[in-house]
Amino acid sequence: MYSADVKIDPSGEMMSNMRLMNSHSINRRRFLQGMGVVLALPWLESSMMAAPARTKRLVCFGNHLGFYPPAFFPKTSGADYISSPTLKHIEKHRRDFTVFSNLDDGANGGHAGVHAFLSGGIRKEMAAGFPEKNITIDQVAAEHVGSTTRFPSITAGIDGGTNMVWTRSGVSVPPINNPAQLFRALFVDQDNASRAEQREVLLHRSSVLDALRESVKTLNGKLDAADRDKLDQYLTSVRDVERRLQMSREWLDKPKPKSPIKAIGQAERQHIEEMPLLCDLLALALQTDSTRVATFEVPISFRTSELSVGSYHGLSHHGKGEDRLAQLQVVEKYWMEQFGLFLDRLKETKVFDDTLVVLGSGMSDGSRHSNRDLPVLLAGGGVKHGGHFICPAEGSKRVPLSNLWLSTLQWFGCERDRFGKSTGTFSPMQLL
Amino acid sequence: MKSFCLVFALFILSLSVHAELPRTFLKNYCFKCHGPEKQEAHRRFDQLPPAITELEELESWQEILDQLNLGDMPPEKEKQPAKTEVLAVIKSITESIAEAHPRLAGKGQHTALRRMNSWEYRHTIGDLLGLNISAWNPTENFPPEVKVDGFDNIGAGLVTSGLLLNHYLSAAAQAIERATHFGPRPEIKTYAQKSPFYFKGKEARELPKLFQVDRFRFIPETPYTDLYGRHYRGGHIGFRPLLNQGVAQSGLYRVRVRAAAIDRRHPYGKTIDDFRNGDPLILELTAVDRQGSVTSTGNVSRKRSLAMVELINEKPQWFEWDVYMEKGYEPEVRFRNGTTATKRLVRLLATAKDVAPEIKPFSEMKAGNERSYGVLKAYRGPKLRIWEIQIRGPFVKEWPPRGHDLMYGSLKPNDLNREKTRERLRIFAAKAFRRPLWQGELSPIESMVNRKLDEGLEPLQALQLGFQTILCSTSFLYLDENSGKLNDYALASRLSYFLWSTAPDSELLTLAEQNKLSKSVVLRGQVKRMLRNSKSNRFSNNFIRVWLNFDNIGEMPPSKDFKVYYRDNLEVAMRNETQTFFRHVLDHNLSTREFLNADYSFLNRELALHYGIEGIEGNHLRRVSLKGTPRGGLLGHGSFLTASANGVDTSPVVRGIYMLEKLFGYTPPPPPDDVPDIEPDIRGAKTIREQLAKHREIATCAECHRKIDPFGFALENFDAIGRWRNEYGKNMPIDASGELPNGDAFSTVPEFGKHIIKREGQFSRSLTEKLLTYAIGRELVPSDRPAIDAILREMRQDNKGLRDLIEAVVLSEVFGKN
Repeated sequence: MYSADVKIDPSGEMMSNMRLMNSHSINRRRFLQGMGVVLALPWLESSMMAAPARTKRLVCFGNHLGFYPPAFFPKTSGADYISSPTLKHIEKHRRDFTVFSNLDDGANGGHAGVHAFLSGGIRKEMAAGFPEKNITIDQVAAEHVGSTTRFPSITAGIDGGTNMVWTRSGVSVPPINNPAQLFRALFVDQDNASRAEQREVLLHRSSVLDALRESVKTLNGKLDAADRDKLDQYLTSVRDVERRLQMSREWLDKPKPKSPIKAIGQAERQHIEEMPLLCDLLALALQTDSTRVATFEVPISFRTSELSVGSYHGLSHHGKGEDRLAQLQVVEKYWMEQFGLFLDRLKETKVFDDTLVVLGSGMSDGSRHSNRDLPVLLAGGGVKHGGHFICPAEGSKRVPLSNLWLSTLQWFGCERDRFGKSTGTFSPMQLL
Repeated sequence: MKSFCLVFALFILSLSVHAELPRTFLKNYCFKCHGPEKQEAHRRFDQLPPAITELEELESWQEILDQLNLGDMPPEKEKQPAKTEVLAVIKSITESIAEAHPRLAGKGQHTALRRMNSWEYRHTIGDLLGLNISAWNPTENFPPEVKVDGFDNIGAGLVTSGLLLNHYLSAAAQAIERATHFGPRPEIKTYAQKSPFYFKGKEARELPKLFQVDRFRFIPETPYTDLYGRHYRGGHIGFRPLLNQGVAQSGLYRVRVRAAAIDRRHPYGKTIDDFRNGDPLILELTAVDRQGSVTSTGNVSRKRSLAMVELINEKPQWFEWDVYMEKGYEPEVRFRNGTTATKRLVRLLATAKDVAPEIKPFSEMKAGNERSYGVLKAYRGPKLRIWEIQIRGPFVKEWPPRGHDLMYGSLKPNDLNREKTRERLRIFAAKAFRRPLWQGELSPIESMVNRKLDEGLEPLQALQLGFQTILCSTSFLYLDENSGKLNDYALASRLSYFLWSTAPDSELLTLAEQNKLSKSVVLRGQVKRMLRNSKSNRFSNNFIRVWLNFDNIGEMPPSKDFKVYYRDNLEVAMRNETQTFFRHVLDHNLSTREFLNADYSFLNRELALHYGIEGIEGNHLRRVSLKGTPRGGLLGHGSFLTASANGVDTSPVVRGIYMLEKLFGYTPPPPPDDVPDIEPDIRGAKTIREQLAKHREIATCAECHRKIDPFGFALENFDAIGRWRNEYGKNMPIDASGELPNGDAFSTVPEFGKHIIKREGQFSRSLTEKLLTYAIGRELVPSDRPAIDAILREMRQDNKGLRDLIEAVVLSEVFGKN
């Protein structure tokens, strides 16, 4: 979703539970760490399910600095694999996810290759050479959903994210990082006056777009191929804005679902408060069918100091040092716990079996700056999970990660036979 | 005899006109690694035809020529040709290439329809509508531009998307609204507030936290308030008269603060470790948008730094600034370099091992107001003392402002009829499109506006919709550059976006109208005028950013473990150093050699200390000699060294590649696919040099790496933020020695520097190419080479400097056509 569409209410809302905790001058940080759960949120009864049964959903979690491979990948394979130090934090969900070894799309470039995680290994530098540029799987899924839901997709994350999400025109979508803003977008209807104003703005904008399109026709005809290509890009942009305008108009008068939780207001929050809040909001968004596609990305700037360890980037350059690895484990433990909580939410609200959740990164080992043998985990979706699957590998040849993405998209309902650098579908997975 | 001489002369003549490509030479010395069996660095030369017929072949021969000229090929260990043979071959290749260029000319020398990038858009809107785009950045949330080789203004690479167009629509609407002022000229008002700046009781209940008494903010009995800490609590004060509404009008305001620096030198030693004893105290004036950006802790997130000043006097003084404040913003005064957070300060003092006598009575108390106030009042360390804050304004030069005048002239909303609306649209469009309007060009927009009027929309609103459309149309967003020789309007825009990052001004447009701009003497005069104008800072600062990839510093910011980097505001200082240096070379028209061998730079106290230079006082940059230090030219700049590292540690390979690309325009080919990643191992006692040993041992790796690694190793004594170090830690001394591909050896940074200066020719060429790329918004192709050669020939004359280079770029054949 375009953040430009969402307005922030300057007057602020009722304060969240966090403020109450503050006034008791408890050491906030310790409190959070001890609890492991940030907010006790009441959850929707299953009777408040908004979407028809068997509606497919896709969620992708990613980060920039990867997961330390020796701690992430289990040493044994199959359904009864011995859990790894990192994965044991989501041990209770063991039967409901599959972790894959030896998958990647042959990207390289270290930091510069991370953003190609969900685009099938196509980096932004080479996107121009592909008809779909470097579109990511969530955006393909979002296009498939179209305006069936209010938001074709919701891209969320911490700070500026890590360029995980890319559109068909080769543009990266910045994440929403403000829980108050996301809350408003999902649950707060504009009052009648603002809605009327918005309707007028949309109407006028439509006229502006018409005039822009007409104006292009008067352009000097002497354009060579490269110029015509640029002009086409402009016209495609006009069409794109028109399409979204249409969708906005469709949804303008439809009331938003009532929020099952207390309003989340503007406040200065730590990253370790924002992450669970945003993840909870994503779960609610799926539950209320406000969207069927969501992503969450954690960048290099994630403030690991809030977990009382050193800087994230510094730790990722572990150089195999024991101390740094131990601190890195604290960060990855936090990550997996949050992820586990998200899976809990999906199970509680009964959407888990129709939601495929991807966890992974375009970087495997930060110290080696490697984009090979990426950490990839698939949960939910009602598929037959196989524990730890070690994909076949020969020398530096790998089964393309794109194959897994292709199968994921097919599961979602997209009719296509290729994605990114795919050579076929991912056969070891039997997808329903 | 005569006939023989004639024939011989003809023979010589014909030789020089139809030089033969030295394919036998290639067979003897090159095919071994660049032939059918091996293709080192993906180069293969045995299939080159006897004559140059394609651009790719031209490129290959140019590469071969460059390598021979550099002496880098054949590699040291291989069979070497005789010097005379090499010279003859160089001559024949040079001639063949020169002959091929005109034949292959015109291919690829076209800038694809080039959209203005965000930087250019920001300034264009600012200049067009008279808006202060530092206070309000219309491009704040724009998607980042696509970069081609580091440049973000390459027409063919820039992408326009629905997301961006949405932003344009929104930015245009906001800009129009901000520039519209139908009200009367704003009155000048004065506001003042004397200490105290905190309040309690009933009157304080409605106030934001910043204004409320708390554990670290008390109402003093004195006529002044002291600020103790660096962060918001006890370190910032707000201005009550403008609370929550801020200033009523955007404009220039005179702000005065009466302040003093107390107890700069403190007796607490290491207890307050964050503050360099004796440093001046820094007062920062900030504009904040309190509405909607105040957080649960009471701090604000939307803020803009207006001014900073260093204080050293204990006697109160008035400090005064003329600053631009945006409507709705209110001022705050902040203690920028306070020791630490006030809360932490109290704790450190009260719980110190040897509690100071004046603090002792309070250290035993229970935590609470009495204890904190006691400690703070007794504290004999650095305090920023504030007596009074005054504000007066807004001061506006013209009314209505320039942007409003462009849009509406002297018309009022009621004066707008169909005819006047059309007239205003035309005036606005002509200015926005940077050229006279074409026949019928505005019809679609005029029709739309008329339709809106028919539907009953307010004329002012309809007109503004028209303006918004104009600001989103292709004629505004894209540069109009005709094929072939650029017409004068296209030339004016190209020139203006090169040196000012904005639309051409009226002088340029008048010259274009009179068809005089393309005359060399006029063009030269304009370049000189534009470089003298301060708008040319947009060029120098932006060019350095893309040239040296400063964006990398933002994307891979130094880890928080490098405390001094953040505490001393080094990033700003480093950027300023390089910008000031570039400006210095430009303003004094110094030779581009200065970038390599200047024995001075521009430093402030913090940066000088960072470089190990003592005795520099003051926060402002000034020229400092680097004699006797290992630094010189760009290689020693903190910005260069930080942008070529990754924020945590250094890599000789990364730095080597960075140096080769930025200084010499050479991009090494990527490693082969099956190269295993380097596995840094801090447990073992291996230095990076030992780990990269394989680069030297394995022949295929050594081939490329002998050209990369030495450049990076030379700078290993500089850490990831450019600080000098003698060892990696744990008794692992740094070995910064190496040997360049042509045999030049070095063991210290200054020795390395000398070898770099020898490569001045390569540097000049690279800088010229980069300037030209930036100027024309497209990548260079082989057919551009003759024009570049011509520029370099001109620059080799005596006393030619950076300003001459820029003139030469503008006057070059490549700049003048598309």
